[in-house]
Amino acid sequence: MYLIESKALRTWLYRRNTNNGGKEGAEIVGKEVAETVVKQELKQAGTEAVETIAKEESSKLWKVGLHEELRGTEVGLESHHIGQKKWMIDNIPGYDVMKAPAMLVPKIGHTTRGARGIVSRNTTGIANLRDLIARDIREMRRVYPNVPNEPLQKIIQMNKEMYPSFFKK
Amino acid sequence: MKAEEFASALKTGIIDSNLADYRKLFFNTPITEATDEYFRQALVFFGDLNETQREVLFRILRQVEIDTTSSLLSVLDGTSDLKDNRMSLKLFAGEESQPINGVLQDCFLALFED
Repeated sequence: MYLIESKALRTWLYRRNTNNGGKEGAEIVGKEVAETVVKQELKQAGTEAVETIAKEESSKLWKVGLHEELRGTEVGLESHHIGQKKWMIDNIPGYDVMKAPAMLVPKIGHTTRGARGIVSRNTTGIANLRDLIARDIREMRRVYPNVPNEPLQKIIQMNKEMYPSFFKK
Repeated sequence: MKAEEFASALKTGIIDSNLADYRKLFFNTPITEATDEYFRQALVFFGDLNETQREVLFRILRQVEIDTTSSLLSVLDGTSDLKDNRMSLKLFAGEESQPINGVLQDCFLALFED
């Protein structure tokens, strides 16, 4: 019973049922349906789920915050600026790299190229902050398909709050 | 020199140049001239590869060069730390008063996107 009510297990199952954290998966595992899915999937989850949960809960993977708070907090993880800092420096007056929105991501895919490539740094054709954030989120989902929606939504909101005038249409 | 220029110089002067050197060494060195044991083994290995496999090998070498340089730049930029050492590094080019590091990795990796 404890496992059914575990937020972490729900998260794990959410990811399992979500196609790249997309809307369809979110709706499937939404509200009351989540309970049913959790119960149905519980038997299959077994040891693998428990181990995954334990591992991810002890890790700071996908944590969102200011770059200066995140960098160097866990071996193997790196602080990834969203929006991309080069574009931000060039286009957002007063942008402070250290006090900018970032997320802890695996080094593979961020600094070194992995099986799903590496997050794009090319900013050619990006006209505004809205476009940049959208591109960065797409890249996160392409390279890290298991990234949950929650931290992505959080970092979008963080950008909106920190740079509100650059989000106006 | 700006960050973009430095990154571009790294690509030309290290990645492209080293890869060209590797190609020359592997294609043009007779095994009888190789006295270094590591390189003798490498040449024997290379000699057993077909043309397609050789090109894959050079792609791997290039990617390893890029990844290694990217890793170094991430330390210079303050994106990564070496073990528990949280360093604040500054890289100056010539007489410039402003450091050029901070976005070197972004500038560098952007050069390799299709």
